[in-house]
Amino acid sequence: MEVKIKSMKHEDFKDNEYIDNLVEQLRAGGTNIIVGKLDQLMNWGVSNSLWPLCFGTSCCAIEFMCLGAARYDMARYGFEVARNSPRQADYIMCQGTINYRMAPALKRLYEQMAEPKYVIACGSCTVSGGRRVPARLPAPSRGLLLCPDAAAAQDQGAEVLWRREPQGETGPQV
Amino acid sequence: MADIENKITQLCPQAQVDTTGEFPLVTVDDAQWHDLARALKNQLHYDVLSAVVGMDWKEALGCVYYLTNTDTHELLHVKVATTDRENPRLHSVCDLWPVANFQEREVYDFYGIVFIGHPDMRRMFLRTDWVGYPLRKDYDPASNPLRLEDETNEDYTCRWVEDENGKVKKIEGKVFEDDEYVVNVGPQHPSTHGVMRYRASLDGEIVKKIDVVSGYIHRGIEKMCEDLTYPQMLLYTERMDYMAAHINRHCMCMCVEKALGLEVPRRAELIRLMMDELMRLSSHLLSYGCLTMDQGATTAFFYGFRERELIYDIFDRTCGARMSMSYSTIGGVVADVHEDFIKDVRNACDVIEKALKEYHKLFTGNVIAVNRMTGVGILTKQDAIAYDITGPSGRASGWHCDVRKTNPYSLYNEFDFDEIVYENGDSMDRYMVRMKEMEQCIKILRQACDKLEAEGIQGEYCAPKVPKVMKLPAGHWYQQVEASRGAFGVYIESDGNTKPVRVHFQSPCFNLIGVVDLTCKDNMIADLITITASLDFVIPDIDR
Amino acid sequence: MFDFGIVTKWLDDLLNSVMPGWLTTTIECVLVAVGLLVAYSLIAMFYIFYERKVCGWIQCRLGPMRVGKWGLLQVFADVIKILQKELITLWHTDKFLFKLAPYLVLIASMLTFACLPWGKGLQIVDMNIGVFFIVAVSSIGVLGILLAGWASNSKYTLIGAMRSGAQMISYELSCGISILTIVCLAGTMSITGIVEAQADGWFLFKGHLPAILAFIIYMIAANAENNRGPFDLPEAEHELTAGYHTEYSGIHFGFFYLAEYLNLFIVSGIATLLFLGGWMPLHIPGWEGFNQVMDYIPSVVWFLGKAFFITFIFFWIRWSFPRVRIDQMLALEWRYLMPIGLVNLVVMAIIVTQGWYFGS
Repeated sequence: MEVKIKSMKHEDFKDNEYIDNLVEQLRAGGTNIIVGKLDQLMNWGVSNSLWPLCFGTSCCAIEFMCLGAARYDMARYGFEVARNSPRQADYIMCQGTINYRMAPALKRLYEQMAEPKYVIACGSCTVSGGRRVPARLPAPSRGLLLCPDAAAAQDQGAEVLWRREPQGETGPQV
Repeated sequence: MADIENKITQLCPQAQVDTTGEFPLVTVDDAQWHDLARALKNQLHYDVLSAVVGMDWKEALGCVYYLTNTDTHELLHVKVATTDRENPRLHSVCDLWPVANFQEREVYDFYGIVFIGHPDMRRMFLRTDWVGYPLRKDYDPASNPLRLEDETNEDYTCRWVEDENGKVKKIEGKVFEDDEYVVNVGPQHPSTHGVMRYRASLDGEIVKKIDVVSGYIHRGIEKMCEDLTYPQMLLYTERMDYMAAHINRHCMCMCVEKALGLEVPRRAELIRLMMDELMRLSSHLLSYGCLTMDQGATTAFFYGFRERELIYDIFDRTCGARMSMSYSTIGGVVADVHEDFIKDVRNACDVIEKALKEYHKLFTGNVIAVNRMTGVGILTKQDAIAYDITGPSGRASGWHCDVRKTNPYSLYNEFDFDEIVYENGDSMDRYMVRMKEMEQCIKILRQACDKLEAEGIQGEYCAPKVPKVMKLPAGHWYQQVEASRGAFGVYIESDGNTKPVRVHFQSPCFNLIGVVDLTCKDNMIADLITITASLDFVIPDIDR
Repeated sequence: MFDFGIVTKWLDDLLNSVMPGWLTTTIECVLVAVGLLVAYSLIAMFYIFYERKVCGWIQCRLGPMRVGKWGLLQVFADVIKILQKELITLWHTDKFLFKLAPYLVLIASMLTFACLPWGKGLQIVDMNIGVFFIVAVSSIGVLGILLAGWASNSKYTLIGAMRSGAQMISYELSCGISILTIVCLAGTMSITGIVEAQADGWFLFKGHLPAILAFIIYMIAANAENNRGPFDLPEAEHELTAGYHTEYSGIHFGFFYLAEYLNLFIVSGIATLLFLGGWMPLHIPGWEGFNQVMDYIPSVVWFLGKAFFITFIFFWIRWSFPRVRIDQMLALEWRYLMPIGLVNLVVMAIIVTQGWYFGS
């Protein structure tokens, strides 16, 4: 694949994975050290300031509230600014079942979010049952499915996103 | 029961009354139903319609109506059916009991039964483009694939009227006029306590009309239960109103135990009761936190949740889970309590009692809070009864509807606690009822701790001979409990197999959305938020 | 007290000696502009961090902790993230107005920012109508908010914008009246003049009752001007999701976010200027030793310290009280604050003419 950033045509642009591959190629070919460092700085910034969208359908949403509350304070990672508008949020934590009526609404919310965006699936309803948008990261990451996803487990899931994002390791997982 | 039978046969000679079950069951044809309903309400004082349960009896489609008399607290079931499966029609009773408005829409949604005289015959929970009627026994699940396009807004409604010749005609209507300013609130919205959608017609800041669109978390629990055995069904009772998880599960267990004739040991009853009250306490704390957060006082939310963590710790240690505990089982509880249980509960009671005083100082006396809530969203006692608003919202309007007092179950007879009733029915009263009820929960818990201590450290926590394969005898059973948000009921109809013919959950929150339009009319948008926060519903309980 | 005028005069002389006058002025303008922009960004970042920590402290939790020691680098991460978010352009909106709105809000806050009394000799432009200029220019922010709500082509944002318009225009009056009350006491509208008139005592103490009343009215009105605290209806999170800036993403939203915190600093700065002596140190009459020690603390530190203290009070109010409703808020202004403010102004005028204040 010929890497020509400046002259990339609109038709050549497909999706984020295409750009990710270009970046990998550049890195492997020995990019300028300033750009590499800048890339790392950008990733650090994004990972430490991930703002969730207030989105809770069912029981897991209460545990999400507990996650934001004083004991499992998600503000420690900088995630406390839970925005209500999808345009200003960075990730959706899908809390609770998504049913046939809600699916188009969730799809619309996801499309309204600004890049870079992530999705964390919480609890057994979202992880194991039914269709969903490509979830980058199921929570908790150790594969235990809880119902509802306890605040400590959601904390763990958020922390995984916080740690893995700077390394750019958050490709499609499921 | 015999005199009820006499009275009803006098009012309607064609009705058949069956008094063999726990409550009298009246079977009547649709032609006489509306007149009998009016007589039952006006003359026999059955002024509360608790539920309208759609039924599919293979050869007939129909409903079972649950009526309650608020003076004597007696229940009555009325069965009305039609054999026409192509165009099933029954007469609506919305004009007598306004709560039937949404209940009948639900039956139409799931069974396709059209109610003549209903002002707004539209689907309730399913997508507007849904094909078929899911709770019918001959429904084909493959007829509705997943659609990711938005459904069209329902701007048109219809109603069916009958003229004097008995001919039924459909009349189209509109939900909102073309020149109305309609704003969509939800389904993703921080204040709707879940995924509820309101379409509000505004005039500046004043709300003129609200159309409630629900079903965004409808999981078809009642349909799923028809394919599950009774122990498997218990799981779902906790996922509806998850803030009353234990109480709902307790209700289901009691219903099945009643049918099987199982006797639950006293220790298990006591533990279940304590868990109920702890659950109620945590639910009211959440309601306090969410109400204050919706008003803008976010700090109070954090304080409420700090206290809830204490209760969650008790649940975690006793049952293994923080929220949906799966602790009651048919016959008793799954395991005995741990040795520090009583100490932990007493400690939690002390801490929360002190914290309640702090909450009053922080929020209740605040002039802004008082101005935002007093006189806002008034629900009169007549409306509360007409719309069957039980729970703290009903008690704030002056209606004595606590199931623990009117139809006591479990060991509530042995406890000394007050039923908190306020008179005005505004948001402030609904808030205060919950705050005072928390104090009563603490009172009950302290008495229960003493009783449990007297029982000893260990004891019998489950009935000795619980059948492994549970087949309820043919018939129907009903049990009602006081959940955190009102009267929760479980109705089971069985034909003698391991799986039921029909399970219906009477949800307190479903009736609450019936009054959203009533209470929010001519108030402001900010008041809409206050009123819905003070009514305090949990959406999965509405949608089931 | 150290006079920064010495430093600026030295620089001016230096530049004048090597280049023509017009070039000197140009370079000085550029230097001042860059300095202001840097100060603007740094103070905004500090304020975002300050709020999150104070908010966490009030709510019995810690706030940002992981990003840098005690979370000090949190806001840098926020800024970097916002800079690289996708800017979503909507269809069917007035694109020019949509893009203009955040800049209007930013311009308004920057213009008022430039007028604050930073320290002795650090006044950028000393107009003889200084305070009047501040009041006039801060009204541009209303325009930005209204445009944001209108140009987003959404019913929600429009409601937020209308609420905000009504609110800000109403409370500007009370703000203005309380400012006039102090101008009455000071006898001048020039910012340096007002600060220097407080050399023998801050106006809050000098003007006793009417000044205290004006202070309270100013605090309430300034809170409402900023769409903060009990008056955050335009962006009432729990009613209108994000209010007038729902449809903004990326740096455009970042501008609104930044400008909100900066406005908080600016109104605190103006409160400090009018009531707490600007950059004047705390002097207690009769305690000469104490006064000498106070004089050693630089004037910039005094100004910033007082502004941060007033901001702390704003945070405290915001995180304790619920939100008022729109009709209650307008009733508060038109039925209570404005009449009281006007009467207060008359009382102050009488007191000044009769000389019934301390230090007359």
